Amino acid sequence: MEEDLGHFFEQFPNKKREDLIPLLQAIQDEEGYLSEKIISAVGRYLDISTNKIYGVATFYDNFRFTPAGRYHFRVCHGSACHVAGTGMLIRELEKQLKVKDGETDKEGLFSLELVSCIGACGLAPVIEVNDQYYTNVTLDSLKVLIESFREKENSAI
Amino acid sequence: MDYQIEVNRNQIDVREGESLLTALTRNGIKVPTLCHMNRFSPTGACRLCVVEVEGRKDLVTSCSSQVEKGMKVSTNSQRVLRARKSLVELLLSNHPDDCLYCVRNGHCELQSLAEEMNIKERKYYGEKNTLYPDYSSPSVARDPAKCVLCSRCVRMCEEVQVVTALDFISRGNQTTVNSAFNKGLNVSTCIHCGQCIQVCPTAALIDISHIEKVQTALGNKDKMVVFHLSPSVGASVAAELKMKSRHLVMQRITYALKRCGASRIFNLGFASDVNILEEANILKDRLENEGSAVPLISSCCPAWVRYAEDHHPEILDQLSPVKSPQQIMGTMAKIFCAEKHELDRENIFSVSVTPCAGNKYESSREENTHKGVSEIDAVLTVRELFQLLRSFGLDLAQMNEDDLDEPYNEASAVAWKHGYSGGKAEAVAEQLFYLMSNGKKEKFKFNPPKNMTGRRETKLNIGGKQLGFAWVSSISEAEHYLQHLKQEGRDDIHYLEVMACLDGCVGGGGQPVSRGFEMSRSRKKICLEMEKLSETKYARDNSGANALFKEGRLEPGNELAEAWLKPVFTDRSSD
Amino acid sequence: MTWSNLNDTRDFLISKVLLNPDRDADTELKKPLSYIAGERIEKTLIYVGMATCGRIAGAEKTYQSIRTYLAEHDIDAELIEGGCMGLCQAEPVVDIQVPGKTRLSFASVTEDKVQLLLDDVLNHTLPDLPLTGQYKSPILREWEQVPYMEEHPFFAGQQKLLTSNCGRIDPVSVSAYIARGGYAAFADCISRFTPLHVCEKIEASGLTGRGGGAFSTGRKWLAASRATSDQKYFVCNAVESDPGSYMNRAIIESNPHRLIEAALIGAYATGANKAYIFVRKESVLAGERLEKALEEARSFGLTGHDILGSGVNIDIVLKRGARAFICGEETALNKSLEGKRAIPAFKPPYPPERGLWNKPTVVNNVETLFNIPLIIQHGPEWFRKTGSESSKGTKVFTLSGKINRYGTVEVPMGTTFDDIVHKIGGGVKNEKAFKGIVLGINSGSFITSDNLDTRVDYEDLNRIGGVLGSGACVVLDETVCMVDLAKFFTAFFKKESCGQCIPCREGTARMLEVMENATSRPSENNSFQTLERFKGVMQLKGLAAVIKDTSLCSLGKSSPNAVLNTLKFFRDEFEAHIFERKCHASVCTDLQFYYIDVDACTGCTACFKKCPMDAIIGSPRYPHFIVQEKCIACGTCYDVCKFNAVVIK
Repeated sequence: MEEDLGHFFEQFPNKKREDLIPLLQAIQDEEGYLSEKIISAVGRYLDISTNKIYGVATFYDNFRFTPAGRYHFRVCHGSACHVAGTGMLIRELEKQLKVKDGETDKEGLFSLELVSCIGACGLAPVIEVNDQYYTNVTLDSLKVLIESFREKENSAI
Repeated sequence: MDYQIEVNRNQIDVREGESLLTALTRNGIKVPTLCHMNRFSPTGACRLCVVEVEGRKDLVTSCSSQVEKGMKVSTNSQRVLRARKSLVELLLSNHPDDCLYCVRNGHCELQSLAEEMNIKERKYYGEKNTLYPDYSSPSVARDPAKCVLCSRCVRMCEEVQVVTALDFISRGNQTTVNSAFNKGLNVSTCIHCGQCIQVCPTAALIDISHIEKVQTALGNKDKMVVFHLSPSVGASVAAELKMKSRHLVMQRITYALKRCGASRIFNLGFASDVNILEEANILKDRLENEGSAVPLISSCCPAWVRYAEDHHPEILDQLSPVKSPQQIMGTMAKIFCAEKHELDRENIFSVSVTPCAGNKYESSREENTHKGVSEIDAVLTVRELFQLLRSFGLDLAQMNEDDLDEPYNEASAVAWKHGYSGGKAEAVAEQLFYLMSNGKKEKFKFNPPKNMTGRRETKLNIGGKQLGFAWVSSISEAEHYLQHLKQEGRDDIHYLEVMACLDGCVGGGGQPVSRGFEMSRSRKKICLEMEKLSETKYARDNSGANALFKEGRLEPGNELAEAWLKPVFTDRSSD
Repeated sequence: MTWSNLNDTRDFLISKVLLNPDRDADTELKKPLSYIAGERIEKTLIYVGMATCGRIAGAEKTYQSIRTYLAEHDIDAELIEGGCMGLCQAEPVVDIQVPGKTRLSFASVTEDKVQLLLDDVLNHTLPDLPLTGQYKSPILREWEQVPYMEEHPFFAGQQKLLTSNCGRIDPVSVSAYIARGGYAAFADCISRFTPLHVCEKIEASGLTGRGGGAFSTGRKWLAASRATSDQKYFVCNAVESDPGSYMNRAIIESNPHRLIEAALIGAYATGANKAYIFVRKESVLAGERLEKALEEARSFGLTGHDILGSGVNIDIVLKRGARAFICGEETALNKSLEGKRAIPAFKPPYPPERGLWNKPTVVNNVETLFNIPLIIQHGPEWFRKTGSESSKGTKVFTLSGKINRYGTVEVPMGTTFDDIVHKIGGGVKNEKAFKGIVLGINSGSFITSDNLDTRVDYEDLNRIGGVLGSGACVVLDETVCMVDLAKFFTAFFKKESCGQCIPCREGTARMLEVMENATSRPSENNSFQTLERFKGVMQLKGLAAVIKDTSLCSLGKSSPNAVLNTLKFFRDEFEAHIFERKCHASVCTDLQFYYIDVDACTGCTACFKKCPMDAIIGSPRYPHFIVQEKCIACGTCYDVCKFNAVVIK
């Protein structure tokens, strides 16, 4: 494990406590999530207890400990989006994808993440899936979108 | 006193620079606290100690506010009382409602707070967090549902014991005190010292109970139940009950345990004497052997041993190769009793009563069980002793006295020394002095510094050599000291005593809970008293112990010594 | 005169501009600078608004389209990935400036419009595309019959001081920034003013913290500069996470150099040799542009060792937040920088006395910092000319919600909210009735139609029991349910609470439960629940008071504001939810009732088959009926009905 993470560790040669969050961020950017093995390896490198690292990582919303789904829904839930009706979209997503904020479904197909504020308030509601933005999303267009992803998956099989 | 401030419309004396809480407490004005711990810096986290200060818009926490000239404080205005009550009600709204089935029923800080605030209705109904208990550790049981997130265990484990086996996980309402990925304590960095239990206000952290095991054994006619009483426990009981006839405390406990059905009550202090004799011998050998690594480090503290195995495998060969008094006693008892009563070793149930939570872990270590027969079958902390006796309907305050059983009833003054930080180092030094003085009648002077905590050293002239003795309590001090020795390249310390609990066993993880560390002082005082009253001054004068030692039972090559008395230290650093 | 050699440009800008105290009087500089700034151009300039708002609207595709067009037509033009001038409504925005003529700003230029746009403008004709206006210029010829940007109703009421470069210059170019006056203030500081002098200037200006704290910036700096320590730090708080605002991120994306300059001035003034810029990780573009801008600044010797030969050493480190709203609180922010859980600490001691690693640290908000170079450059008296009696300077808002023109808006303090909504914002979208404005999640204060004449002024807001907040300005209309909004805010606080202190950790959870009870499906059989609902609401005020009184930090203290203010300003809506169990804005779906219109229903039994609660009864070909007691308002029947017979009330 340490060998795989070597190129991350090289970026932080001073092994300071203040390097903890940037190091975890760098690793998650590439690996997608922080597994137990990663956290232990980081602990050994920085000489910090695994529990402490886990405690720091779980405090912040950016860190995830399970992989994201193949289709990762990032929904803007800022104030302007909320008054534009995003609450209803989130309920629909929770119902259809069978996940809550921060979770991935059992098949690893879909995951959901609520963020704020992306900054496209006039185009609210805004949803991002795998780097693609969808604006002025309605309940109907959302259902169509989810269906299209499901179809894509089925045809790929 | 430096000046006065007004509190509740009266003047009180205060010292410059002290916290408001300290000033109030010293003047007998009680303010509830939860996250506050003596010897730890305040965090102002729980907000329970809020008071009203004239000129400040919001209520302020007295733990984090300093006294100021002209301050006008109210600790019991309507606003303050309502705030405090609401805070406790909020805590209760997220706490299980099963006091009646709880280990801390009757001596729980949350119960006391609810009672003090006069809370008589369930004001806030809400969803309680669902959290599952963890019974994986041999010493410490966790029930996160009962946790009030006071941060005391986390701070103790991080700041004093360094290992951070528990930490805050997640955020906000979802915060829990846990180990990484919710794994059990036994696979965490926990060293099982039990200090977390000591400081926990509720039953979120409790003993892994051996009471039922013991009760079952006591009720089994075929089993011979043997208790090993640590002198430290005597000191604890005497302190807890504020006994007047303290010198008879061991006999009192013996009487009570006999009434429970115990067959034999042995004095664990006997094994402490054996341990000292052996350790001093080993130290002498090492000193005479040029090239042996110094210092020799004590290994009678199981939490310390576990820490060394986890983090400092390089010093494992410096750990004293003598088993701890608990394990020596267990071994002796099983062999002695088996021989004497022609019993199978399997039918002897040996219970040690100690102030140490780590002893439970120690008794479960692989090397302490031989072909299915454990040296120690159960360990009762002082807390469990009280619980056991209560369940048998025995009130220690009203017991008579009974003598402890031969041949392990004698213990020298040295056995009491094993209970506090610095005591063992002194005992070993004294024995070594005797061994190397070749009968010369020199007076032994130890001269330890006055204060009780932190790293202490003293240099003694023994056998013509300048020898350094050091002792530390708490893992943070141990870690600092080891780093210090390494960095400075010191080779002038020849013996290091390490006790994982602050102040030594008098502050042990198995003691009755207190977060103020005040009790350690009273327990140590009693230990010192008992030392003075002891008829036998030195371990070597303990005839039984000396005989055992001289009989060569502890010499290598002896089947007993090999299998039963040699400790095994394993490098666990890669786990 | 062309400036093709970057080294020449650099030497020129450093020696003739930055290190020249008489730069303003030197007439020789005006022309070359106007070239570097992009005012005078030799080849066509095409500037695509590519801040995040633009990108989401499709500006990347527009940019690629333009690139392709230029290549295909073999046109040598300068194409810039730009920032945002504030009218996010107009995205994707493309500004075009042909040599000699003023700069035009076109709106809604999606990739399919590129051909038409370039075909016409490059031939000096105006295409039939939405044109926001032309930028005034004293030296360039104007386009006929094109309104001025400055007179556009969106911009007319604004005073773009700290956002003056946004949407005008190449964000990462250090040359363009210097040519427009950037880094001159910093150069003057390190060569002519003592650190104490700089602090005093800031204090004299009356600048207060724009992140919501509204504490005197100058006083903070003075406290840190007076503290004795071997090490001091300066921190820029760019982790703004108010769910209603993004203007900090927008101005960083559009003009990162101004932030860097402010951080350098701040570090110099307080005696820090290390400055941290802590930016949200999710603000990817802002982070990237800051990195690039820092590189350029470094290449000009503006950061690092012995800056511009002055002997001053300042390093700027960019760090990214890991997402937690509480990081906006300065002591929590410091903990996050240290690599720990962002748990706020009690104050005093304040960070200028003991902050990062217990050293004196000043933490300032992005918007506050954007004011700094201007105050140094033009003087504190200049700054004091803008604003009201008690609040000096301008305030940047993110105007969003049910508004016609949304975006980033900079108005002088003292502007009324009426003007912001109706003049600048163009009024409520779709002609709906105005209900209110919510300013920032911390303040939870509402501006209603009764007090629209309230000015953007700390004291005015104090008088109506609110606070200005960090700059969110979300406009609400009759389609917004205030109870639902209050529930949203309370849920936000519950999620973002750090968990350290009892009142906030447990209190926000309990308050949220009360709000959820108020908006949840009434269950007729459960009278206990009803009792709890009433009890909860009645205890709300008391609970809120305790939370405000005892919370450790400002997040906790402001967490009950949303609920309390809803109760205060929209009591009728609250009562309708609690007593009538009705949501008049039709937002709280749990309080909606589903009926079947007997005239429209054909009895096809589709809903009957799909209802998960078996709450629909009816026979084939006869109108069906929904049993209210069993209905959970899941909406399945509404979804499956092909005859629009299911009605929601």
